[in-house]
Amino acid sequence: MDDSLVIDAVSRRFGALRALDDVSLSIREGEIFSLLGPSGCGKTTLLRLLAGFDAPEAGRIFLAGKDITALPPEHRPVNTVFQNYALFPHLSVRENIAFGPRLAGWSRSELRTAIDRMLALVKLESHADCKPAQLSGGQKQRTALARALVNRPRVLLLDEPLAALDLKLRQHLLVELASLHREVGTTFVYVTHDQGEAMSLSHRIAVMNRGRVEQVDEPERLYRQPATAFVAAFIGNTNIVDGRAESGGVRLADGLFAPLPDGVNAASGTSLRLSVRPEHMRLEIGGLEDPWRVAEVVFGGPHTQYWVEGRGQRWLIQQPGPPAFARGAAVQLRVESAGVSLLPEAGS
Amino acid sequence: MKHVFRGRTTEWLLTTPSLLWLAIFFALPAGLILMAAFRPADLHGGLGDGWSLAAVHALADPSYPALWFRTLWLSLVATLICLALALPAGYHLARLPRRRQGVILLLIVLPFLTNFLIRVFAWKTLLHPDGPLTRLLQNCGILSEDTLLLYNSGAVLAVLVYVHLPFALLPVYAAAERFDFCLLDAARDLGAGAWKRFWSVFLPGVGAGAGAGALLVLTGCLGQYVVPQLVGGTDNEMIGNRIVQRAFSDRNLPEAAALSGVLLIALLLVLMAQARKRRHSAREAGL
Repeated sequence: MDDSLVIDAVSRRFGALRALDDVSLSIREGEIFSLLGPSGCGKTTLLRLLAGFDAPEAGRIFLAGKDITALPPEHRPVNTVFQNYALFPHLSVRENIAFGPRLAGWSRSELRTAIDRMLALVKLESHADCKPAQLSGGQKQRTALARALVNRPRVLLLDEPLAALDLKLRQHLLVELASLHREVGTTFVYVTHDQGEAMSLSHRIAVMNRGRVEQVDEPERLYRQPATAFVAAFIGNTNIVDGRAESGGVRLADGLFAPLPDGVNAASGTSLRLSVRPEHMRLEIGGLEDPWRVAEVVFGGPHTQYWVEGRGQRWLIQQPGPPAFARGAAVQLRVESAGVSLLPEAGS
Repeated sequence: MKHVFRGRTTEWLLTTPSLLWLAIFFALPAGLILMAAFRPADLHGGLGDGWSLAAVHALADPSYPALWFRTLWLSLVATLICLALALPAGYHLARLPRRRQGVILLLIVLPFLTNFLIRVFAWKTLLHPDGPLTRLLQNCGILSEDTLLLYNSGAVLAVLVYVHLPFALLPVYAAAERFDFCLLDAARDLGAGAWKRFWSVFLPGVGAGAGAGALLVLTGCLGQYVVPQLVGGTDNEMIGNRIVQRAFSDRNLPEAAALSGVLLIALLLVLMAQARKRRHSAREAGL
């Protein structure tokens, strides 16, 4: 696959704030690429740079090999689905979709076929003549998608397109978005603060924090091998603990032994920082001589979460099934190597 | 207690004060004026007994069509100029930080604290053949020695625009302030240039405000008589001047009432057309 959109050492400041600090990314043709991070991490600033609404102080943006850094939004082959959809309230669904093609001077018949195809694609044929005020949240979102996609952009930018919708609808639209992508094959750049959305939709994710890219990877690798403590904590739940390497694993500060996964080695005696996923820890019945006590039990349907405390350490542990331990119960802990990953902040 | 403000009866109760206000201060006087047009004039400048069509027949006076025409075009052009100034001004005003908006709005309303007549007189001084503006333009060679800035339709137009501009600007600003500027980004994203964004997105967005502003300006201009009298000279009379003349010089109230009646009915027709259009677009928006 070719790199379609290349962001090369881009920086953008607002006063003293470094919204984007030397960000470089390479987005492939036809993939769903997510920019994921908490609010203020720079993901929206980056999206505005890609759309052309803002210009970087340093760095360049290339689209299909051409430098588009200075190209204004109206001349970029890039379209955006805005967070609040920004549908034109005085135009019908059909006229909203026709806005871009009309400006591009499409012929009448070309316009008609393209719009009918779009309406069918987003299943809005029966609402073609409605005004945006008459649409539901999901229908507005689909109209915004059709209005952007009808222009056949090289890249479709999506700015938290599901943030305004409720959970059930969000999950439903996520599936629709994925199948829509399969149909049109356009490169999607998807901005979100919701790791669940990013994980389930994206081919690759860039996790951003304070204007920098922490890690770019496939969802599964992000989860299994987080590169930094920030990524480990932002993607799912985790326990971040310090320890010292010994043969075959790591002796943690509270005495617990964590085996390292295959292929990961550390010289004995070095200080390490680890991420341990809660679902890769085992709880077993313990005795009074064991230091661990269950502090909190949270029933979560298919699984149960326990907060376990002892020797100054607090562990989050997730077990399948209903609660098996009561609060205050003495337990033993075991760490599975599959849930362990090394973090770079060792010793710091 | 929660349901006190519900239902048909309470709806009527709540609208009664404003309906009464309209009835006493608008419908009643308007009705009296229309009625006065069908009375004979008496010798003392009041209304005579009985009924007469003399004032209505007098509307056919051959001097009127030119006067109506001038009134109409001056008012329409003044309205268009006011809109042309108010739309970009309202746009930029709405994009300013809140505090700055307040300061500028205050500056716009400030001239209203000065008496209307004094403001028009100030223009008279400004445009006077010996006034600063004439001197300046003559010295720059833009204006020839024998051209007057005062006493022509240009002067009337300028002062009409000056006097009525806030009435256009304030409603346009109010609409622009509620306008979602994201829509302009969206239009730009879809390939629209600056003009296209203005005409196809901003203008429809503030259309209601612009319409209200235009109506306020048009209404004010059509009935205007002080401005043409002070800066227009003898050749730039508007229908308002003739109404004043009929009422106070000729002491013929019925003819003044008939002229006013025509103006009133014309404006009511415009208002009804606009209300109809608004209802229509509200229905379209699904409200």
